[in-house]
Amino acid sequence: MTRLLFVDDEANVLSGLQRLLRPYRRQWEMTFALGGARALEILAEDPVDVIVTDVRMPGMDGVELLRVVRERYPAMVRIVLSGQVDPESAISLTTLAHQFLSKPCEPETLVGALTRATTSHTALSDVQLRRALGHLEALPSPRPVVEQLTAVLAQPDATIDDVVGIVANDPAMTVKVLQLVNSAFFGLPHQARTVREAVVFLGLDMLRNLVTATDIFHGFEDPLIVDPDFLDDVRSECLAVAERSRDLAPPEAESDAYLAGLVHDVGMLALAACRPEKLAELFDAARDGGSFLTLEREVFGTGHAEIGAHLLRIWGLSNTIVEAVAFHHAPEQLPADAMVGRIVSDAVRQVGTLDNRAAA
Amino acid sequence: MPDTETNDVAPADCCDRQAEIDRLNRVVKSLMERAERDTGAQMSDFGKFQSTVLLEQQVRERTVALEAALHENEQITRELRDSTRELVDSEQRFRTLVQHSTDLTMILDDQLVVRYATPASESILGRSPAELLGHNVADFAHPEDLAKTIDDVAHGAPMTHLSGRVQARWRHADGSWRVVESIYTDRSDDPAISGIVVNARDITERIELEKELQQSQKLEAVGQLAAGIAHEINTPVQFVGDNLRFFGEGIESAFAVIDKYRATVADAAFPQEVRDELEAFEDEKEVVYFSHELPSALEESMTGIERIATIVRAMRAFGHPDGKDQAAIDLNQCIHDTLTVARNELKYVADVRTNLAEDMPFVICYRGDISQVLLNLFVNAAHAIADRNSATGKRGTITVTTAVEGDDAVVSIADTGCGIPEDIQHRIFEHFFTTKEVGRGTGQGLAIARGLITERHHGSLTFESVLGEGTTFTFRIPVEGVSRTTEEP
Repeated sequence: MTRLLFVDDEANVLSGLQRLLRPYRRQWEMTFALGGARALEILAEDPVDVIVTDVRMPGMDGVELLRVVRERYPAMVRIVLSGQVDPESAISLTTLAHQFLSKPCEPETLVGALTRATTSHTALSDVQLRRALGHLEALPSPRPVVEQLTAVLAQPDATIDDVVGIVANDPAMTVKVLQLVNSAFFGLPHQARTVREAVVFLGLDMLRNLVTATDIFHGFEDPLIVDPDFLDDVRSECLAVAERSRDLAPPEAESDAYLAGLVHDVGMLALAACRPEKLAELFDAARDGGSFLTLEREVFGTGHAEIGAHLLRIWGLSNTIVEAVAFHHAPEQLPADAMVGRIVSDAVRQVGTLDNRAAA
Repeated sequence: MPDTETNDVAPADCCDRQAEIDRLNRVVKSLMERAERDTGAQMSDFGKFQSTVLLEQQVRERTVALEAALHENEQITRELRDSTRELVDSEQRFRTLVQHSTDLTMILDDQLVVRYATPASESILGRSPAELLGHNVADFAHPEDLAKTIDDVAHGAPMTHLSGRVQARWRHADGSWRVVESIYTDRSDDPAISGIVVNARDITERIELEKELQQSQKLEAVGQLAAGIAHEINTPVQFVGDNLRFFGEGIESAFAVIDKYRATVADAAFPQEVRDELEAFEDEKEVVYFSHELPSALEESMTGIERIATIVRAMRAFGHPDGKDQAAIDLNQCIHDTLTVARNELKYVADVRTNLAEDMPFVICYRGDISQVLLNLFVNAAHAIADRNSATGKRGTITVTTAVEGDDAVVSIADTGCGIPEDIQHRIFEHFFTTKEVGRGTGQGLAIARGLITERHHGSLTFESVLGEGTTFTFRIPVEGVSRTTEEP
């Protein structure tokens, strides 16, 4: 059974949640902790899979608690449920929390977020890998792209379109802005369908703050282990798939198709960030004639598609995008109505995928 | 002061010198006379010699003194000429300063009639100094402010003791009110002035800016306060909501069990008196009533909780501080939020209908500005309706419509209020123009709203009005924000 821990400084909130979630008691084992210190005591005895915490709490607050949790229990999915967060905490939480829900929270929203978090937990069974992914603050972008974005944001007369032009061509940055906008990090949750909407909604001021205060747009550090051109390759392949997906999609699905195409290989970026040595071995083996998709399963026990979907799911991206990413190499497993998923997998096949190239 | 007078400057000094020369001449003359007299009076030779020597000596001394005095006199005259020239220069300088100053200087008599005015009257009042002469201050000062002026600067004393600083509205020749700060100084004892000197400065723009700043600070304060209390309110809202849902589930279970018991009792062969007793007990405990009322009580409580959550969310969004950059907003949501915040102003006078475009994209703008404009227009609409219906107590309607037209987002707010009389329609966007009684309007709302829409957003704010039927204000702003450098990637 998946285990969940709820943390709040108000006993009434905890008992309210306990009563509200009672119908799920057969699938989730739920524990309730009054305050951050108590939560850590409980975790020391018996770690859980998902933690849901308030932010403003006397003693140890939610930011502090999640920092400790990420350090000690990185595999845990970290969700914030808060009534109001000051801007500084919100900025820290952008890299500490996977998702942000605001109080009062509709039961459907809460249950939806918890379901996604617990599904991811069961879908990715390798605890070591989950831990490594849990440590990940951000997916890597090619360093020149990060520098370009920083330079543009440093100009006082930068326009939204300057920024969109950079972010919308980089899968890692795209995922991050969507996560921030679609979660209630800054108190005004919104479902953004395009990068432009997301950037426009966050605003340049907020992006500037985030770039200076956090490492959410992360340059790739270790060119010795993975071929430095690798990130560029992933990025250009993602762009090609995004454009092809858009061409294949009917007008009403163009935005979703482009986005899903753009982020379909974020699992590859995650592996480059947290398992660079193994990924390098994998490429060598694929170059010697093996199938990338078979080999990655042997090395990691799972595929980059599942890893990408896991991350997007716990970051709160829409189910349409998540399933398109999860099954971009296995369209036969898509639900019957998953049009965007089918389009992306067609586009992947038409553009020529990374495993093909590695084998060539 | 006339120019010709300047040559007569310092005549007193000249006279002094002249008098001294005259005196010396008289001394010389009398000495000479005495000498002649002495000569004629049988003086001894020695005596003659002596007096001649003495005389010569005296004449020489006096001559030297006289020359020195004359020399000195010349010098003084030269200095006088120089200083006179300086005086003329400084007079000229002073005159130029006064003439070109943006501050208006006037001299009033004790009846507040203008006796002198500098050309700044042109910009402040739209009238030349000549046009102003002979006019009373009361001809252009706002009546309320004039009374205040007299109170403040005359301190209840006669008009001749006017002095002090006062802020007042003055009517410009174009009909607008300007805010003017004036310093009154009583110089009636000074023969050169013999009147009240008024130094006046137009501070309209400063006041407008201050008002705008105040307004945005007020909104920011609302936002900060809302953020602070949001946490305090949202926490109980969370658990009250959770518990209400829980009640609902519990009640449903309990009544399901009661139903089951009833069915069982009805089927089983219970003695009649047991059935009667159960029925009486149910009646006593009002089970049927509870089974009807509890679900609606819960539903209404849930609605109440949702309304609280909406208000907190709206206040937070409404007072959300603007960054220096524009941001994307959901315009329709912004309208709902503002209506929630303004609900108290509207609900007693009008029903609000919304007709909002479903295809409205995010609009890039300064959110705080747009909230402020919307709030102003809603409150104005409510006032217009209240003015029309105050006698009958009838309710009016405010209709809010949004649409996308070309590159613009368009918002219309129509009221069924009193309408705007045609003769003042051209003035409603003026600063300080108001038809509302004191305390209800500052005459700033529409002026600020128009500034925010046209200057900050490069949009437009217009209206159509029919007296007695209502007014529709419409503003349009570019969906893509003010810098249209957009190129879709």
